[in-house]
Amino acid sequence: MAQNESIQALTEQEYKHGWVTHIDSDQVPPGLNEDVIRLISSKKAEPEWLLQWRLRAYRHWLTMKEPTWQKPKYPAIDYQSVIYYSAPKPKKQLNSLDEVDPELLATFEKLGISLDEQKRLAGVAVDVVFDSVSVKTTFQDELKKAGIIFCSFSEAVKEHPDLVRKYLGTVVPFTDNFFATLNSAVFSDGSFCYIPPGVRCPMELSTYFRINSAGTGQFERTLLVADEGSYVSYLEGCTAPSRDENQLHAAVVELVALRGAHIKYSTVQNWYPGDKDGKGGVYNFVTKRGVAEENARLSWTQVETGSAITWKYPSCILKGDNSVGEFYSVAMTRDYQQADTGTKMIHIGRNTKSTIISKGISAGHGDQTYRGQVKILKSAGGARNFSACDSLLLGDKCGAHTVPYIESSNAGAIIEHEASTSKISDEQIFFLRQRGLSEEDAVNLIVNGFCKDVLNELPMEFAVEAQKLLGLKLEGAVG
Amino acid sequence: MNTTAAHPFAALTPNPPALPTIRDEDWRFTPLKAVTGQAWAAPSAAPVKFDAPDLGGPRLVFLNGRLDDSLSRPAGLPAGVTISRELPPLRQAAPERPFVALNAAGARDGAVIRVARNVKVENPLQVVYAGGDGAAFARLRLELAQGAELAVAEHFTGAGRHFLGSVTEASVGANASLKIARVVADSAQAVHIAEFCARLARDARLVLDSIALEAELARTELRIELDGEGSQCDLRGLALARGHALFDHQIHVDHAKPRATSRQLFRNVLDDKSRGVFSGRVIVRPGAAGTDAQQQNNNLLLSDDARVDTKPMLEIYADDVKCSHGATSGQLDANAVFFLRSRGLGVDQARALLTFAFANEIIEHIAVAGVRDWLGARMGERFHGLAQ
Repeated sequence: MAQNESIQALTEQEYKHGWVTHIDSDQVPPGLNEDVIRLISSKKAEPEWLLQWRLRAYRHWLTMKEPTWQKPKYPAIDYQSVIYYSAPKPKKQLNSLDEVDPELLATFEKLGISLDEQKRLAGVAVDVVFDSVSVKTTFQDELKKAGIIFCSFSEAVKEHPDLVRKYLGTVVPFTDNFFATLNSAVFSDGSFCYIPPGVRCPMELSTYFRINSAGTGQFERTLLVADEGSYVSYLEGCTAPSRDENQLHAAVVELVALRGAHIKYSTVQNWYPGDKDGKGGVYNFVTKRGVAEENARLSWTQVETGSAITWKYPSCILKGDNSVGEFYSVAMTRDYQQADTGTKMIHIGRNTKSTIISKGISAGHGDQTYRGQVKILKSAGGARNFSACDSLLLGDKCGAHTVPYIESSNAGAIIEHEASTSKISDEQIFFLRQRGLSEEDAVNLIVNGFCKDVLNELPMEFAVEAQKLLGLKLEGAVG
Repeated sequence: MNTTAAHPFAALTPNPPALPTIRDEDWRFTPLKAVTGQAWAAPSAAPVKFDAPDLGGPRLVFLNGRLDDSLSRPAGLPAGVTISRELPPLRQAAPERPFVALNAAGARDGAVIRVARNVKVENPLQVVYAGGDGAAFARLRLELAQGAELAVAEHFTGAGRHFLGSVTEASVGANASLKIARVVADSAQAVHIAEFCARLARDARLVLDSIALEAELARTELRIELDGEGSQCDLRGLALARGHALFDHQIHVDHAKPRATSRQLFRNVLDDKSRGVFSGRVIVRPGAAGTDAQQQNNNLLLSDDARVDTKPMLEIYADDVKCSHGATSGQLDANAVFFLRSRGLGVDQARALLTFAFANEIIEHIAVAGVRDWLGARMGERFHGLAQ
């Protein structure tokens, strides 16, 4: 039937952001040992304490086993064949867009996120991470006026070592899990952000990650500290060029929301998902976690449409009384993409609240799992959680799974979880067709409506991109 | 896995399988201290006191894992129903299920009940498993031919500290119907690890109620294979835990064929320092179009020291399905308690009434009438002041 044809069209659609930018990279040889870590550290002129931290992480990593409990399956990764550091050749300090490598600018234009346009839109400062080193930071001056620090991680290590040292590893310790520990040992760069007490960040902060050099693992590390009573909205968006070999991406994001602070962290992820036979694609194994102190609020929003495997659980540790955690997610898998994503809400403080809204869309041979944990400790009297996880199946070869863990040790806590799985009903399609919509438009409309609760949570700039992405992914699929 | 030299079941079977620990995913919330804390011996020959109703119909009584002829009453069955005392081979002994393997090695006695084609059994058949000390195993097999109908009440009971590892396997033929009520009402030191497996053929129906009232540890694994088109299963459970009890329900429903229906409703009422565990898994196989699966788990925590761990899972590989699950956890609604108090009820009475209402939604739907009435009376005793 026509719907199946549309779904087939969707499944067969090629990745639109597939190209390779030719920029000379400064690489270390593949493989991992203490010398490589020392080399990375010295290339970045890091202080001794950070080198020691990396080495402790590496030594701990050697004692760890790669986890196997996850749903996605992938061929064993040879960690000795990965290039752990790659940086665009150093260029002189840049002050304006004109000084940026024109090829790089062209890349961004292809992605439809030209810095020019972003500047004109105003309110968006972009810390561009191209491979592993930040090349360009905009709106620095404006942020400086508000006392906000927003820079690359390596710059922060140089300029604000006390802040970095105070918070690095406090949310995701270097012993946390296999991939976070690997990241702690070899992270190349990332973003650092500090919002001073009582400051409301005047613009949405954003950073675009790209994976470029062939065979380069990307090990980003983001540390975001919102001091007492401050507010920040942070956007992270990704696309990566076509590759035949799998690329490992093991990032770590740490959020610290001090008393009364509010952090909104949004992600749109559209990395290369592999071709229609499941060859290639990015492995996106990310550890994201935030700690909320008293009255603080953490909000994760993600739209995951890319990567061969997406495996991440952005989490909230609700430590302080009255703190709030939120998780809004849309994940779309098609072809042979796999996603195992969800969240953890750990309620420690009294009257803590959490909300989980997860929407999964699976097409072709796509397979996805919502895996989440809501844990109420004995100390969390009056805690409240609501979770809703819905899955939409397009085609009979895909899979959708829901694995929530609910653990309550406090009688005063109220927890609700609901989940449903279904396909788009023939009646819905028929109704929209009858109103004059093509089948493709109808599917698009239904999918967009299905995701509305999450897309509404995105900042305006991102909501547009996210909708475009979903539309693009559904292109060729009837309504 | 526990590989220390002193295996708790070493005295009962030569090569006991390694026991799981909380590091095993399926046992993550169920510590086995009550099992591993001692070396189990074979039960003594001392007489066993137990608490189970006599529904007046046919009845089998296993005392310490042995079928007791003097207490059993395999009479009053229509033609076409046979009860044979034999140890049926286990249909499947998966290595990842150590207590099934333990039963395979340790069971000495069992029974097989066969119901012939289109035979409908009016009176429910009672099977009582009673223990007094030591560790015992039992095995029961139910075979319903096409169009047969049978109701079974399984009572897990006894006195003192004892262990029972039971396996019940059922095969329900095309268009046949099996109703089963399982009740754990034992001493507060008893340990029950039970497995119930059923395979349903085309248009077969299974209604199962699993009630846990008293034990130190009671874990029931239900594995239902909806292996025929249009088959249905309706699973309900209630755990009323107090003291240090841990009651655990592990449900696996496998939608292997199209247009099958499954319903799950499990409730935990947890008082004192008790723990409740629910893990429900629904698998929809590729090609199982028209599947309709619902799963619901509600938990009521009456004490700040009680704990619940729940894991409702859906695993779906087909698109034309209607699957949903829900889970809730909380305490009694303060407004509801206030309302009842404003009508003149004491706070204890108000709480008891609301708790009773929550639990009774399972009890009043129990499909085996005799068990429903008996439990109704027990509930009245439990929620003091409500009996009158």
